[in-house]
Amino acid sequence: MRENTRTRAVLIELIVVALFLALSSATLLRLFAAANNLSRRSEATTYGIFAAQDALERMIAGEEVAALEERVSAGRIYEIAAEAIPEKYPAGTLLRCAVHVRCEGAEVAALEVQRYRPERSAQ
Amino acid sequence: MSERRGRIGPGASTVLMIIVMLLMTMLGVLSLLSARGDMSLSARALEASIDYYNAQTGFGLWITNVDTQLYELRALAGGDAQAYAEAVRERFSITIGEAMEFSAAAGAGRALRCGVEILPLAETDRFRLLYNRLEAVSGEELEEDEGWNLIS
Repeated sequence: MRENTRTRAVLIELIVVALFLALSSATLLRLFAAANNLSRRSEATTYGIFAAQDALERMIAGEEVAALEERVSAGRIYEIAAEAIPEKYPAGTLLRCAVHVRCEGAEVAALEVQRYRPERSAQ
Repeated sequence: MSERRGRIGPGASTVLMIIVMLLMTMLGVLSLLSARGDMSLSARALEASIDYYNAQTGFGLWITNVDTQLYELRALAGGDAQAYAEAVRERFSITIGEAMEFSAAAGAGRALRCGVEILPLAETDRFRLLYNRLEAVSGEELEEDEGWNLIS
C-alpha cells in the first residue's frame, strides 16, 4: 500500500515535470527563434552592404551595372536595384548613383553617392 | 534493500528538469545576446557606409562647383594665362599650382579629406586630385609605450 502511494506520487511528479517542460520548451523555442531571426537579419544587412558597395563602386568606375540583378547567398535571394542619373554641367557631369538591396521583400541596405566627372578643356 | 537503492526517488526528475531548463535558458539568452551584438554591428557598418558616401557626395558637389567656376574663368580669360591666374586668385584666394582642401565629417570620429591642385591654363585638365582619404579624427593623442604597438 505504501509502495503504491509512492509510485503514484512519482508518476504525478513526472506528469507535472513533463507539463512544465513542455511549457518552458515553447518559451525557449520562441527565444531561439528570435535569436535566429536577428542573426538572419544581421547576415542580410551585412551582405546587403557588401552588394550595395560593390554595385556603387562599379558604377563610379564607369562600369555598366544592370538596373536589377539577383544574387544568391546562404540560400537567400538578394535583389540589387541600381540607378545612375547623369546631370550635365558646362564643365562635366555629376553622376547620381543609388543602390537598393532587398531580401525577402524587405530593404536591407540602401546607399547613394554623387560623383563628378570633369570634361577636359580645349585650351 | 539494494533494490531500493537503485531506484529513482521522488524529486529526482524535478531536479533534472530544473538543471536542463537552466542550461537551455542560459543557451537561449547567450544566443540572443550574440545575435543582438551581430545586428548592432551590422547596423553600425551600414551607418558608417552611409556616412562615408554622404561625405563623398559633399565632395562631389563641392568639386562640381569649383570646376564650373574654373571653366567659366577659363572662358573669360580667353587664352590669357596671366588673366586666368589673376581671376583664380581673386575667386578662390589661392594661386595656380596651390592646393585647395575639402573636409567633411564621415560619421563619428572620421572625416573625409580631399585636396585638389588648380592647374594652369596651358593644361587641358582644370584641376588635379591630390588626395581623397578617410581620416580618424579622435581627439585623443596616442603616445608610445601606453600598451599599444605601432605596426606600420
